[in-house]
Amino acid sequence: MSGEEQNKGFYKETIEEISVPERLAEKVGRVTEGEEKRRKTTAGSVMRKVAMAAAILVALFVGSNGIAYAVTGETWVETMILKIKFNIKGTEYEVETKQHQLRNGKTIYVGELEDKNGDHYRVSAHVKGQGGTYFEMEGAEVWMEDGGIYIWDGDVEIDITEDFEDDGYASGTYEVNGVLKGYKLWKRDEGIGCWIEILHDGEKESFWMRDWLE
Amino acid sequence: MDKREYERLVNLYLKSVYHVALNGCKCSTDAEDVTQNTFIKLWEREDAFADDEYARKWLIRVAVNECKSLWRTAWKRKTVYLEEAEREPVFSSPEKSELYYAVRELPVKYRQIVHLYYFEDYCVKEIAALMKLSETAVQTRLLRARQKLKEKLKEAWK
Repeated sequence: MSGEEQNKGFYKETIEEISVPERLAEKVGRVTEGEEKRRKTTAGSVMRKVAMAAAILVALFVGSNGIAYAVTGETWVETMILKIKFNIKGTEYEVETKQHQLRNGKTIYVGELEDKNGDHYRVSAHVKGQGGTYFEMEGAEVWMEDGGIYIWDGDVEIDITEDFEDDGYASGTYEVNGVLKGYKLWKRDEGIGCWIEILHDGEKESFWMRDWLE
Repeated sequence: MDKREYERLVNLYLKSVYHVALNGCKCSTDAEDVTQNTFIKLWEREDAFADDEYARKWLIRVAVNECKSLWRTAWKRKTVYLEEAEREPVFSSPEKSELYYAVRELPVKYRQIVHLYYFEDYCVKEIAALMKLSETAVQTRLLRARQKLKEKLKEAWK
């Protein structure tokens, strides 16, 4: 047997030892059960921790073709790079953004900027008239598991399943490391929206995320 | 696609698709998403396959493309999976474990080719067609991957 054949045999034996997770086999089996049920399964049974992709929402674009108004010269069709003006707390910044495809099929434009205080933000804009400034909020995560919904933040774990199930809406506050945070989750046709707010001395910054939500 | 045919193909190729996905994503949660998306596309496919081998190639190609879509997702970089540590595969020998992680540490452009060549038994020409690469590029990557594995695994890799 040649060295390459031995390598193949060794690699095959190794990979063969990795079994398909049972839950995956179940999910794949349920694909034929219809769109609605499948989506429910996808969102509800995958145990994952999603690091917050958070956004300070600022009204940037109005109308369905806002992105076109925001373009300041780049040929976005060719380069997929746009210069977009973002308004952060009253100051306007022009940022070069690149196109990214979200897992849910939507297109966003993402860039980075440094504000006048030297703070760095990742900024994004949607094609359909929404825009925002967002950054990763490493502390807070939302989990979904088998229909349950949980917020984890440091040592804090909140089970909001029941609250959410009542009317498709859940809200509340919690404190972690001396910081008061608020959360809101709501169900819509396209999925579940989630806000996490950090409350500082009466000042409120709001963050928005969605990713695992179809 | 007909439900019975779908289930038959799932039985035949679920493991293969999952392995390709795991190889492409490194993370089992992403691999599960990729696998599920691949089979959703299979279910939605209207045309019948000429034979099972064609179906296998089609599924693997879709899985490879699904992995690429995942890498392109900007948000992916912000996603962390806590449960990963619990889901690491366990192997029957330390040598196999070393091989698995040595392959996993290869850049994705190498490890996918390694998997298709060593596990799926595809030849260079088939991999080139599947990955939309030139045969020379596949050969080069395969060669470099072999060298890297040899450096890491020493005698365990011939």
